[in-house]
Amino acid sequence: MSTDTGVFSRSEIVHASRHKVRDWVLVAGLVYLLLVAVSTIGGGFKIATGENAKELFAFARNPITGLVIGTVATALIQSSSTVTSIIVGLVAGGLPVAIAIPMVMGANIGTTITNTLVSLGHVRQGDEFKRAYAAATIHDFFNLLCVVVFLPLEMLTGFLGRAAYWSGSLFVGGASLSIKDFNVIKPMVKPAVTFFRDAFHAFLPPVASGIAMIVFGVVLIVLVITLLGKLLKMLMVGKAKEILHKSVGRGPLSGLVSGAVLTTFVQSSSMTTSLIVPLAGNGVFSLRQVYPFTLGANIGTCITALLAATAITGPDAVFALQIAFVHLFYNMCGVVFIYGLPFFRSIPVRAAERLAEVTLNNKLYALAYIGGVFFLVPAVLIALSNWLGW
Amino acid sequence: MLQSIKRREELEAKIVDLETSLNALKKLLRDEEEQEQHRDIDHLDEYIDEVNHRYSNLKDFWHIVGKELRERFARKKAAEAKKESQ
Repeated sequence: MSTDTGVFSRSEIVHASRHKVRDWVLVAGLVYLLLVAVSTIGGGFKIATGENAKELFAFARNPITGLVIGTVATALIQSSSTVTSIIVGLVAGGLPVAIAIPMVMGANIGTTITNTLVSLGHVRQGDEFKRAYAAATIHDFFNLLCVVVFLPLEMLTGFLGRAAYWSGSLFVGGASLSIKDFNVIKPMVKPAVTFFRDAFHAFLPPVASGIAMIVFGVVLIVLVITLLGKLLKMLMVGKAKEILHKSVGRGPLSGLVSGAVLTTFVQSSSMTTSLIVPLAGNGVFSLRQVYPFTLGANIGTCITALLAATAITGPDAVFALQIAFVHLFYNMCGVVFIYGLPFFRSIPVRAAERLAEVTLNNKLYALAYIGGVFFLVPAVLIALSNWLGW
Repeated sequence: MLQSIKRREELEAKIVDLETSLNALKKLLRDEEEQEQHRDIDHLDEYIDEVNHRYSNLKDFWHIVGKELRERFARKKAAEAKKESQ
């Protein structure tokens, strides 16, 4: 029972603490299930494809196709963590990293649809809509620019893949310095994965059981990340406020770190970038103030895939870690080379402001923009690249 | 000569005064902005709700898009009718 002064009784405090403990146990359980799901996808993919994973994904060898798969899948699921975790699982099962890299880049683009949808909720508020829409689309333009700059560079040099492979091999023993002996996640996950594999094997022939494991893993990841997001949002709202309060008036680096920390806590970049939309819409935060915050979200979201990759066992474990590190390094390069260089830094700002300006006068631009960037342009790009025989 | 030096010193003193006032005003503005930002951050729970209800919040958007499309078609029709009548 609480008094008028807002002081809570002992039993209420005990009750609330018990709830909190229960919720955190649930979070731990869901993280465990996420790891199991990623490993299950990897195992299933291996069983279903044998040594033919490369041939199976030959259609995605064209980087544009991979990019589009990542973009559209993430735009539909509205969770880059889910898509990158699935990609980690597929890489663990034999999907070549070179094919997976554009998919991960595409996931970065696809995830930006959520905050754009949130900004459309302000459509009746004139200038508020303009500010909210610009705050949402600055993330889109930044991520699009990253792809324009880094995808061709990666195709030409493989710098992300190589740096990520080296980092991944540190964790699985490919390099002289290895910390694989400290990995406690793998032994924890293995019994559950073996259980599911045996369960599917008992009822289905090998290939079908592999496919069933993939489907089961994907469904489990979607469910787990959705539940995890909801739970963490509830648990972390106080912490999120604390982080945001601390970043006020401290400059872009603080905004970047706050965005990364907040996203790590809520395990969702779209949640972080969506939260700043109303903050910018009210005019209390300027576009330039929220900009580094969105970039922090790009980095914070990489934690999920890294965590997922630590659960993978076997010879392909290094590739699972490699693709997770590619995601991290790619987003870090974006911050350093796009946000770090004044010329590049201003491009997303100007593009977002211009789009918001024209959309304020004609809302059809918003429709054309979402349909175009997330669905129509990807379809045209695939058709064009196939026509050119890439 | 002396007068000119005095005049310069007066101007310099005025500039210092102005700069001090300007800095104080800038600080005041920054403080007010930051206070407003802190107040807005306290409404974070409401913004989380907004994210959760993003699809239902799109109703207004669809309504406006529909209206703009109808207006566009109506304008086009009117222009065509005018052309025919001419």
